[in-house]
Amino acid sequence: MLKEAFTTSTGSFTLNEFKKIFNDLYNLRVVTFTFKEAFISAFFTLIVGLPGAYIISHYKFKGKSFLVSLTTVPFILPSLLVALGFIILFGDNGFLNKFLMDVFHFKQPFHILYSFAAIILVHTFYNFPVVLRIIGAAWAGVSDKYEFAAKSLGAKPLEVFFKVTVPLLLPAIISSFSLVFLFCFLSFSIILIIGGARFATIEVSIYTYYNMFSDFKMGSALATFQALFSLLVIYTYLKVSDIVKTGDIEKSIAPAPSILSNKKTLFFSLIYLGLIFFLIIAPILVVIVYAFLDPFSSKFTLENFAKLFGTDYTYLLGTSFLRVILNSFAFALFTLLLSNLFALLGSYGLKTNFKGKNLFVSILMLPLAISPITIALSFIIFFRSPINLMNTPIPILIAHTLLAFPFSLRALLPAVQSTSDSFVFASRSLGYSRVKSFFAVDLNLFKNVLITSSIFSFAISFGEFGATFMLYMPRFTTIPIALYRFLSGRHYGEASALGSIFAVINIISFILIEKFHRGRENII
Amino acid sequence: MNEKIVLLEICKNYSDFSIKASFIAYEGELVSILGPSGSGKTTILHIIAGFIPPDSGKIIKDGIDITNVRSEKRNIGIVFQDYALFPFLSVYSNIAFGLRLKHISKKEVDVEVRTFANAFGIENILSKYPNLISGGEKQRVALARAMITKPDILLMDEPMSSLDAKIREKLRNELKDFHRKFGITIVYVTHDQTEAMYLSDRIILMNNGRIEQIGTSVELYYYPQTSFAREFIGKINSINMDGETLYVRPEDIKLSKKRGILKGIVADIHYLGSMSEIVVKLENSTIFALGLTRNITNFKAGNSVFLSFNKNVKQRR
Repeated sequence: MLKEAFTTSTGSFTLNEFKKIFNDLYNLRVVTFTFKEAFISAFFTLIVGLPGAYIISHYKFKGKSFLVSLTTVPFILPSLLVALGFIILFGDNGFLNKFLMDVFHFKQPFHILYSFAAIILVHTFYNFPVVLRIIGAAWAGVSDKYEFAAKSLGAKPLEVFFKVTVPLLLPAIISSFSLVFLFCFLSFSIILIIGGARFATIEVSIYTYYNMFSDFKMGSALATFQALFSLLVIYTYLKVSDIVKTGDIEKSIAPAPSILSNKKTLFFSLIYLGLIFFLIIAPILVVIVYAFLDPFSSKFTLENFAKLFGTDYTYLLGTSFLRVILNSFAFALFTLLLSNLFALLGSYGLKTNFKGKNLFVSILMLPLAISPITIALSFIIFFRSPINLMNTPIPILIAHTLLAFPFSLRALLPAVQSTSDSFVFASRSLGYSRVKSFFAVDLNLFKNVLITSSIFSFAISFGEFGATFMLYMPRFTTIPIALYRFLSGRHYGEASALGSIFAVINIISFILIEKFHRGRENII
Repeated sequence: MNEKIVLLEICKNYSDFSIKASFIAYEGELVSILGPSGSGKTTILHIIAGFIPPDSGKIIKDGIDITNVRSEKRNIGIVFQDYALFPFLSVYSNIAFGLRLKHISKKEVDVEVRTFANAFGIENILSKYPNLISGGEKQRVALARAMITKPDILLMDEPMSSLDAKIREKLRNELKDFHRKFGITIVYVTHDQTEAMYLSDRIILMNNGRIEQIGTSVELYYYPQTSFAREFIGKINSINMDGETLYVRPEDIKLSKKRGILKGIVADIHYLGSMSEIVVKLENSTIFALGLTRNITNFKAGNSVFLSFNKNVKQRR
């Protein structure tokens, strides 16, 4: 892909494509829009997430750990599903507008979707759990002794906040901000669906260049530019998140009070927590509810599901619905196997110390920074020749594995590294070969992290849209692709039916992660 | 002497624990709060500092009730157990922190910081960050940071507990010098009785949220008023004689091969350096005697031995 970006059609080196990024008015608009959109989204996400981080780190209440684990949901929740949920809630024919028109007799629906604000809204919703999680954990780990020390030196509450609390949380703030920024920077399906035709991020326009104009060169140049910048952000994130982690949990002077102890805090917390719960659960919930409603009469029906499993849409999907489901499961299972295998190998390889190990770990985390569309584009270029593999499922499979790998590695690496060699030595001294020991000892030691890693990689493959969308042929249609087809064809009933199947699988994933990953280090 | 700080019937209740305390610290005094961990001593310190509000009772500083004054207005300095130096600020900025809040000119702050850094012998580490300095240096920085705002009282929460034995001894002396030099009232929390006895003008002995006894080191050692005070401070033998119980410190027991009021057998000898401890088995108890090592070289395990007590033992029970 780099080659495509830096060469002319005759093969000589050129920077022309890069110059075009900044000379071409359309490209320039795309780039500035992407930065603006990502920055504003990350900023709002931070503002929305901070009070929540404060609440979960400073108060005790029932169901807190459940709420914290709910913040994993956006990581495994496909953005398509979120977009669908927002359309059903806020669309012109959505629940909100229907409610307003029915109850208050509004003549015109509110046009919420297909605007800049809508993009920010969805991004904020989708990502604020990241802020909640990262800053909340950091805040809980910071002892209040620093704040008390400042007070004993005469600092007033606001001075304490800005001169002590904020500096102490700065690594967490930077790390969550950069992560959210990155997610929004690389946003694809949300922009595609919620943004409408007027808005395009770099990611979307790479796709457009490829899909509409078959322009590999401009796409590659944009992708390279995007990847360089993302790398910078992910490097910042990884660097800073190391600092966040080394801050060990210290004992607090004043024990965390119950949330019930103060009426005012209780009131605001309840409103806020209610909102969080609503925002995380609502999009999934409305999709499931909508799936059982007739799009026109709003009465209970199973019609949507029936149509889904029928043959009505074979023309739209290019293949049978059953095949779509099979495809999704097959890709997800193979991704799970490959991703775990590579992550295990990587973790064992990284057990020994060598020069440049940190850099190497960063490189292994690269797929976090390189967008699905970029991966897909480079695969298209790479797998075209000498043998054309594009009509096999291999490129999709590799893309999914690449995207899931960083999550698996982040789950497995700490566990493998922190486990003493003595277990294996013990088993070998008892007569097991290294290979036998691996199955008898290692696999059991890492059982829980392997399960977590499996669920994550499964969920990522299962929900992956961008890369698959660029690489697929009708035969390989997956559930997200089918969902997109229904969405762009405005078949919202069928989309919801499919979305609710999707949501159920995600809820199961969430429950499984909950069960096996409780109290462990965060994967992201 | 002026009453610098007074705790009047301070109460604090937790679900499984409660604290009740009244005491006075006089002007220029170093008062220790001594007790085992979980006895509530640190909580009392935090109540004085204003970090934790008491449920009832009053705190009076220089004759003024400060119970409801916010901690930033109390002008009470504190040195935390692990010093709580701001990790994101250099040593210099840590020391300057309190002054910078007071809107004093940069130059004045600089003069003050350097004066205090000199006083505490840390002028050469001002540009370093707290994670790069030693435990002893941290303590000096913490002291300088607290003292630069010229607090009325200094609270210290087990400032030696994270240091190793050698440095601890050295810093103990430094702390005593520092206290003499500045003449500030110090309330010092520790669980180490040697440290408390070494440093304090008076000791407040706490157990389970209650004050057991208040007195000088000598008073606590020789005139313990409760069984807890007797057991917690130093070693003590309880010996049954003629129907009454005698409490005897190991060093008040004299050993002889020929005569005494009790007869026993040497069970073991613990050599501790200049002093040594001899374990003596009596009929139905074991006691510990302490003597100069050179005086007991002629005793061996298995020897029979006679015990007698120093004259003043009988008066103390």
